[in-house]
Amino acid sequence: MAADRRLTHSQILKEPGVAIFYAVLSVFLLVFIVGPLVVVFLEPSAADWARVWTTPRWRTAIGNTLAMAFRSTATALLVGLVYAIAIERGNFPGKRIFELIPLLLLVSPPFVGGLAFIFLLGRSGLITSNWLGLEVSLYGRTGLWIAQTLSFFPVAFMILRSSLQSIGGTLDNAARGLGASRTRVLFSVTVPLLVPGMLAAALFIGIIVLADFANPLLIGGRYRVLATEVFSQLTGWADAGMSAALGIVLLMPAAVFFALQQFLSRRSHGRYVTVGGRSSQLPQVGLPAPLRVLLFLFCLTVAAYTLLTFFVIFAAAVVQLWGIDYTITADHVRRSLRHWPELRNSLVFALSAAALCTLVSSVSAYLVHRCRVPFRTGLDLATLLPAGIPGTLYGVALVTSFARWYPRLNGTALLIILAMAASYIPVGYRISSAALQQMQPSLDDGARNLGAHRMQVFRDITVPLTANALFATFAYAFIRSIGTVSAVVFLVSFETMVSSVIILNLAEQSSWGRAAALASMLVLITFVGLALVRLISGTRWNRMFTR
Amino acid sequence: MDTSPDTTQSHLELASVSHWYGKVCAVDSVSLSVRPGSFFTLLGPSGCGKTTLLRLVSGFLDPDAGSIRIGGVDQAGIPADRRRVGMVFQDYALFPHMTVTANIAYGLRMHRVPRDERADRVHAVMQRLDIEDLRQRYPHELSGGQQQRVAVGRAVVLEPLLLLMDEPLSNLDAKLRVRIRAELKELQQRLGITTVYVTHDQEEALSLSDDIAVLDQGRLQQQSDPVTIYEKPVNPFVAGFVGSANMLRLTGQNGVRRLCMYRPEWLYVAPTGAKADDPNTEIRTGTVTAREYFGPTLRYRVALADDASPVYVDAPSRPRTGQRDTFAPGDNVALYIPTDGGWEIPDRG
Repeated sequence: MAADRRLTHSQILKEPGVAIFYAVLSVFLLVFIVGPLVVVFLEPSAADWARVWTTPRWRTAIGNTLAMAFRSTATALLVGLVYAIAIERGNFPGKRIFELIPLLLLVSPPFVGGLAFIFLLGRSGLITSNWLGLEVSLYGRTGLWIAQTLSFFPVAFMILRSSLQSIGGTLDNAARGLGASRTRVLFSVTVPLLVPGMLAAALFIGIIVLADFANPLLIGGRYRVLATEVFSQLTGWADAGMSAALGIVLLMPAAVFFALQQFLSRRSHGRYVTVGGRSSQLPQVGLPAPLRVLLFLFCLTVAAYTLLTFFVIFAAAVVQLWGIDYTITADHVRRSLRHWPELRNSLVFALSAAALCTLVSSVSAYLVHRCRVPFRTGLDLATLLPAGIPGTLYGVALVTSFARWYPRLNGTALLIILAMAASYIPVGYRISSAALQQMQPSLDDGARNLGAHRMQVFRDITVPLTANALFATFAYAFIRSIGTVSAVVFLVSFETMVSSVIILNLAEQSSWGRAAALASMLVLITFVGLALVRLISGTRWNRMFTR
Repeated sequence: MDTSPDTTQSHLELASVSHWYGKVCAVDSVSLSVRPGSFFTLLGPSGCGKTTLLRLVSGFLDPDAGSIRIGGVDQAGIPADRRRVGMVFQDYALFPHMTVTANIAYGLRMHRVPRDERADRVHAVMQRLDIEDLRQRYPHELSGGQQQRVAVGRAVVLEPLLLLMDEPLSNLDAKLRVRIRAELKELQQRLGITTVYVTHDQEEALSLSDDIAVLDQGRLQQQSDPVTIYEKPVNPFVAGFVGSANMLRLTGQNGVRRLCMYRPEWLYVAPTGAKADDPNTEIRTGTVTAREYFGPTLRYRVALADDASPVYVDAPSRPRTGQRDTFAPGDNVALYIPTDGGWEIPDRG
């Protein structure tokens, strides 16, 4: 009886509030998300398409992109899996710290991993050069592989960890009771039950790796991938056609992953986990001691590297020249303060984007899940769409489509805010949808029965009861927006420059100290934001990734 | 309000109301009328259309055919938030982020009742429902029974023409259910408000209602008072749904064979060998095949020598001295059938 709780099609006309929200939201999604993506397909000429497949440089980039997507996804998944098993089943001290560390990385600006990689494992890196005395260059394939693995394993960790939690101890105990050894339980019960979670995580990470822009830019070197080529074609060569063509090629595997993800999440919703009903309070079956020690050491290594990541960024900001001259100095910090206008832009844009993202995602979730509006599936898909769109392609799409429709918007704050918001609308939508599904539907009816019209219900009932979700969306969108580069890099102008792009520019000019100083500020803002969220709403962040 | 209905006529009238979910017909041409001030129950198994009917009356759904009149006013085109219909939901739907007072005042706020009048009316309702002490509590701080009273209060404070209740007892445990049931009836009588109550529990329906409408597969089967529904069901579905029904084939004095329904407590069993001293009693022999103990009563399953289907018979579990004994499975018994006490079901389906 879920369907009958919604408005009938004819009733939408009787509800002006719903009709207005529906119309505004539809126009927004059409003009700013679906429209640009359609336009970008018209951008490349036939000649551009021909060149994509015949130019060796592009063919190599396509091959590299796909190879990286599989390679980095596989290793990030593996690291995340082992880390999750260690945290949930290893039963060793310091669990709370170990589980926090990947989270920090997850919410950090995307260039943090790459920048730290240079400081730690680069030509004059702390580990490679200073500690080990090696003269190696890991730039290129190997470096990118390592950096992406370490940057994206937190995603796998978050998803698999909540899978592990929902599996609970009952099945493990049952297997143990049937005579399986502890190690056997792990491999014959726990890991197989994680397969759906692993698949979901793999698709999730796959899309992120394909779209990854900061790591290839910083440490890809001559190992070219599509995400950066899309950028250099547009900004370096002003070749919008080629840039769009490459972006569309990049979209293909991402779209496949996205479609698979949608298919799986709709089909297997809670398939394995709800067999026994409520998850029980039975204690977990422990793992044998040697395995636990190994898991602990593994966690320790990964966590130590991750902490070093943040440490070197803060440290590089206060020494003369990282790797060469470790004299303490305040020069970089002082000089980075000159970038206050960009930092202010970042803050203002990110706050606006967070507000926009929260509004769009919650209204869309409400309309899709609580109102029987026409084209619900279309609305649902359009809202989730940005999750499958590589940021670089979306950047190109916005630039090229507004160049046709309304050129005066290009380079303005509006498009930047839009690009930031759009990327996180799917996450916000998932959070809001989950919150709505947890709310009794009878509350809506109750309020309506008492004389409230739809928009009053939304204001008085839905918003207060999903406040945590809205706040989490806002904070998440803000934290991620402030560091984002991929879509924004196409849209900034002199007046609307943001600090994340400045950091990449500084890194390209090898102004490491200043880059690190500015990056430290963004990282600190991120951490403060995260702390606030935990303090105020206590929202579990992993929830965002499991829906 | 765009209409001011005659409150003495505040009853509900459904005329050939139908509703489809896609190709599934949930409510099939249902007509019924509810007397003013009465307690009216929609009774039927899950999926019979009773909840859909309630949603049609409250305006959450529109009928595909037929008309609904409340207090003589056709409700077509009046949205859910403008109908003068109060509703008590199965899970009460109390707003968890509002206090009891705020919950009860919400409807008045939505109807733009001035602040002072609002406070007075909320207070009056709380007094009548005896929930003044709960004023500042939140729903999660209330017991099931208290939640229900708040839900009723929230609905009646708007002085609706009709109060709808959707299985409001189903979330309570068995003992509480019986107590709240009595409370509910008493409350309804005190408020004098026309009430439409939905349940699948026949005992609830029989004990609470002035009138019952039995529904099955979207169709109205019978509308009548509880005694008639129980003793004179119009078809086998109603007979079986509101209680156990034995179908016995009797031969009348004129030799005409009739198929009659007997409730288990309308029959009785005795040791074999007795003779019928009453010409209106027919005796058949059979064997007890099962015995269920319910506390106050016993239910025997008796296999008759001349009938394939078993007969269920209720008896007091502790017979008074000099009366019938209790029997165990395997005992041979005589089944006493009062020949003029059965009910011949008119529509045999």
